[in-house]
Amino acid sequence: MITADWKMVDLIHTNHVLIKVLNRFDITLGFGDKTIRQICTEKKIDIRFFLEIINSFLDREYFPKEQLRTFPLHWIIDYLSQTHQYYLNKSIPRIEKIIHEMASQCYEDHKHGALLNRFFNEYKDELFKHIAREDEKVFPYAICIEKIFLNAATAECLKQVAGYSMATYKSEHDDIEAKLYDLKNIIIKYLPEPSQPDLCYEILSELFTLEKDINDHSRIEEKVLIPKVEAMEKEIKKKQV
Amino acid sequence: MTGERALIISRSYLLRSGLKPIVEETGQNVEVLHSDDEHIPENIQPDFIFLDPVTISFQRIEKGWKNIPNKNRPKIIIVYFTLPRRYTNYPYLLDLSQPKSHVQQKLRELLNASEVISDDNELNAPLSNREINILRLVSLGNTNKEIAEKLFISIHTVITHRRNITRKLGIKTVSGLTVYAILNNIISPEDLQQFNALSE
Repeated sequence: MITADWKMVDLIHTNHVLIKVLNRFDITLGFGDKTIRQICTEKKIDIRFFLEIINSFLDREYFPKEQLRTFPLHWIIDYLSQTHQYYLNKSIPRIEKIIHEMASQCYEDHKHGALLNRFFNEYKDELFKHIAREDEKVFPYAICIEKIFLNAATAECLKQVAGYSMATYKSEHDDIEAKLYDLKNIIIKYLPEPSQPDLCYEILSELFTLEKDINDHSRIEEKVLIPKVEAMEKEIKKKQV
Repeated sequence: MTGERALIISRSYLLRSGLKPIVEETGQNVEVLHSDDEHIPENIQPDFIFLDPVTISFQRIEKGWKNIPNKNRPKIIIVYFTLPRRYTNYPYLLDLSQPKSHVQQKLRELLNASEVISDDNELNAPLSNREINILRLVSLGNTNKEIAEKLFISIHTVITHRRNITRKLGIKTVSGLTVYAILNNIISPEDLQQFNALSE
């Protein structure tokens, strides 16, 4: 378990993929021997929240959903939004570049490259749509629900929440991980032997990493965000009666 | 064992976390869940249970399957460092104090020599003709209802076949299945174009 008095550098040594999680808190490299406590204090990041996110990311078995639900909504949403930006601006473009290279260079039969490109583009579109839906509707809705819950509702907010609910979100919340899973298997099992296996290793490494990241992300949405907002929705309904 | 579900039940975090990856490594396509209490939700339906008798009551778990015929019951495997006397003659045991290679070998035996599931060999087989037909119709965009009507079978049967196809191939989505179908010449890109043209 990572604690606040750990040095940030030791955290990275535990698992280097945490660097991208740090990025979501706007923590960049070059922090010397500072501890987590020092850096969080400097950057005005809540230490407890930071540690819960980091520890959940490190250990799949550790997911204190009740504690996570007690944190302010906008911290959770900020973290989720930053993660979206990471997918949109970093992960997917990088993967796309490699896929295009693979499609044009790895397979003798042109149709194989075309299939790969097409399948990836479908995945990309689906993911981007999913992210846009959350950034443009779900997150603003949740923020407004919190405002109403705290008796700080504005007219704008009341408009935002009309006709939407967590129940709607849950029914729309499709399985974006399935296509990613399929993409991996198609590359590993069903496309023919590539002429440049290194590209395949690279892409698979990226895909596995992305999959894990998205799984963690979805877990926070499903087990923390939704229940938290649902609880507020319930209270609001009670007050209205 | 392919396409199976295993459940590890123990109050020990260390035991659950340690056993899970090894079982996943050893069993192909085994979905490994874990729990820290004796209550097993209805929808879980494990094929295997790894039970820690020190922290969990064997009797209480076994009672859950009292009314189910033997062949549909999960195989309960007792995991231990020191075997409690009463289980000396129990047939499914996993000694956790052994080195990794021994544990894996034992796991392979326990998971493979199963009287529980007889159609696991099916999951290693290539797609049957029926499954190929269904795959073709799925890739062409037919709904379960349409497939059922075209093949004169029930929707339930279609769903079962689709589930088996997914388990055999490791592909979940319709577009993934379409790619597989094209790669294996089950449909041609022209078939797909025709379908797309029709639906516009």
